[in-house]
Amino acid sequence: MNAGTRTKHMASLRRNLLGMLTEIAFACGLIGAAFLVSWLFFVGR
Amino acid sequence: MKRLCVVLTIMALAALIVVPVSANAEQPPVLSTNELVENSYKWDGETVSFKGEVLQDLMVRTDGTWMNLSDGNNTAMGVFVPKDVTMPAILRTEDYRTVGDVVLITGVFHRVCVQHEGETDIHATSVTIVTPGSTKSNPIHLDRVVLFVALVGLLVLVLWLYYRKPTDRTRH
Amino acid sequence: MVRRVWREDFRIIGYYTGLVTIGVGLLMLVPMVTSLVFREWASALDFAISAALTLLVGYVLALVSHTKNTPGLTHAMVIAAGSWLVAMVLSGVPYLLSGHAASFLDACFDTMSGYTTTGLFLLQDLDHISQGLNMWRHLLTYVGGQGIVVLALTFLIGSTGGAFKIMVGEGKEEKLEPNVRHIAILIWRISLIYLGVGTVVLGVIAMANGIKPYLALFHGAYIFMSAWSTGGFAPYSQNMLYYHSSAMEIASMVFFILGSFNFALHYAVWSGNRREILRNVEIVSFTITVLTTFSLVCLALMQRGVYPNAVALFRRGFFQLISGHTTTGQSNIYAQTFVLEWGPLGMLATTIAMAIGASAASTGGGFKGLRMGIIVKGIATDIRKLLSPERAVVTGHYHHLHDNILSDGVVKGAAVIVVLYVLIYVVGAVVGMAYGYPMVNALFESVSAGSNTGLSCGITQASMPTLLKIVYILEMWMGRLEFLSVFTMFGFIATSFRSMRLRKVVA
Repeated sequence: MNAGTRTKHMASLRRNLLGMLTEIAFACGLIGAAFLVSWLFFVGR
Repeated sequence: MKRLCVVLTIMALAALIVVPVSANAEQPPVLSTNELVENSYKWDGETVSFKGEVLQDLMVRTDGTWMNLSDGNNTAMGVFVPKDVTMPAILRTEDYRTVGDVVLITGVFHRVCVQHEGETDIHATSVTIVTPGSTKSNPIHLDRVVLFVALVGLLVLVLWLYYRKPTDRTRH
Repeated sequence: MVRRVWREDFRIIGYYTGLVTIGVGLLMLVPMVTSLVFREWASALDFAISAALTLLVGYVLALVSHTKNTPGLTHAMVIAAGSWLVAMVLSGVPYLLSGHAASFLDACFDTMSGYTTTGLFLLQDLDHISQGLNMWRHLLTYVGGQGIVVLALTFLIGSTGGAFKIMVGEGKEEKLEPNVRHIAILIWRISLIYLGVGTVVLGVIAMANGIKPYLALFHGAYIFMSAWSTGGFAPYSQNMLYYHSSAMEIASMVFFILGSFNFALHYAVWSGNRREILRNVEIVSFTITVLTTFSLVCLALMQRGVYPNAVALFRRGFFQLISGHTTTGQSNIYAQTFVLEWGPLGMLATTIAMAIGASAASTGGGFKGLRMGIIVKGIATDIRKLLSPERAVVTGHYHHLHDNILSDGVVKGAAVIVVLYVLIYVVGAVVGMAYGYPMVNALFESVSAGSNTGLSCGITQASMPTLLKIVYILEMWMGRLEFLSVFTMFGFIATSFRSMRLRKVVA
């Protein structure tokens, strides 16, 4: 594997990792939004 | 005079009956998981007893220990033993080769425990080992070994038939 | 217009089904090794027997039907449907040998539930099974989620056009790239990376919560496989209640939410198109329906005063709801609690969430977010057409990986499948009610089976009526394969009978 393919490989892995983090961030965001909903139900009671 | 004796005797007998009954009433009833969960409102906050086999993982946390007690076919209850409650040494917990200690606990049942964010649990106030655990035998049956050997024999034959050189195989 | 069936068709189907069976047999070596590691000798022998038997059946099938022809679309659909049945039966052998299956049908129920990533179970005394058997249960959901077929593809077949058609038969219709082997490899890469990360994360949480390190790793693997595959099994009868850990539950939630996403979406996001996650019609639909059904759940729980504070309401209420909506089936409350404390509205809101389900081309079930999005937008477009002047051209669009036109055909296709799902949900509910179960319960359990969720309100037990077991097995199977494959298989069988009669008459 020469330097060119290695950089391509690293770039691809970096893209993969960022993608994974984006997905996890979305899931956490949804969970947070749901917590907000349950909190609002209690506050509004 | 005779009537007085009869009345006193009856009162004494009544006392003999009532006193043991009230003493028994102090022993919290031993309930099953199903009874507790199906009548959770009734037992919420009550002191109950629970008996079960300690499942594999005793989870020691900062404020106490969690144990899961199995009391039937696919029924088990989570029991939290706070740090200040004396817990006997649980020598055996359940796994494939071990029957876990059977433990009797008394404690407060919570329908939705506030401390544990809505969990259905019992906070134990006393823990005693009723039946110590033992080893399970799980014997290997000879007929299964024979079956295995026979299957492997057949498999080897079929593998040979399948992987032998193409010229021997009939093709369409 | 039905085609004749020739002997060669049987050979193709037999051969590829045989290959899949061989894959299943090899898979059984994993629980066998697990049992050896834990010194569960009798259990290891049971798996050795099962593996030998399954490999034998697979190789005999492949040997007898050996062919160099590649499968056409019809073959692929029959193979996809048929393999599930063969795998279901053979995978039940370890259950039977363990003594924890009350009957052969119960064993089949559990394996069908595993492969379809449902999560309902009839296993007796789950709290006392071997690590090997637990590994097997969770592995079934992981593999089932990936599709038995992709497994066979990766290890046994070269890259051919036939393989793509088998995947289409599986119900995962995303046309990602022409080379099927490439798709399979990518799906496996994403899944294996998450498997590694997930097992470690959940394992560390388990350890921090007091589970011994070597056991914690297995718990991490089990719960991850259960979550990612949206299966819903757990190593103990208390399901997630066993762990008494909010960290465990939240981590699992993250993984099963991600597991419910479309593989095409994972591919897009992992390839750099990160904005897709906010624009995709399925994600938008999912977010809306999750928050709406959760609000309904909160309404029901607040009205009945079930939980004392927001944290408890969120932890119990949302976990159950999102587990249902992603069609996972993990739970941190008892089944009786769900029925008796949550009540009818809470149960119904969860039922609706399950019915809608996860994303298309994912491990989840239900109508699928894509169809919900398409149908809702279809209705909106129709309304716009009604309100517009006659000569105006109104076209609807939906964003899924790229902008797509909302044609009548697309809307119709989505609606037809939704109707079929509703049909199996209702039939299952009616059969349940015919046996005396209350409507809300019968509907809940039926939708749980048909959407491959696996939450139970208590109906699923070894003592339940045999016919109901069979109905749920059929629901799980049809729901997972999204009907097409199953219909093709029955059509194929019917045609082959007709062909045989024709041949006899001619001869």
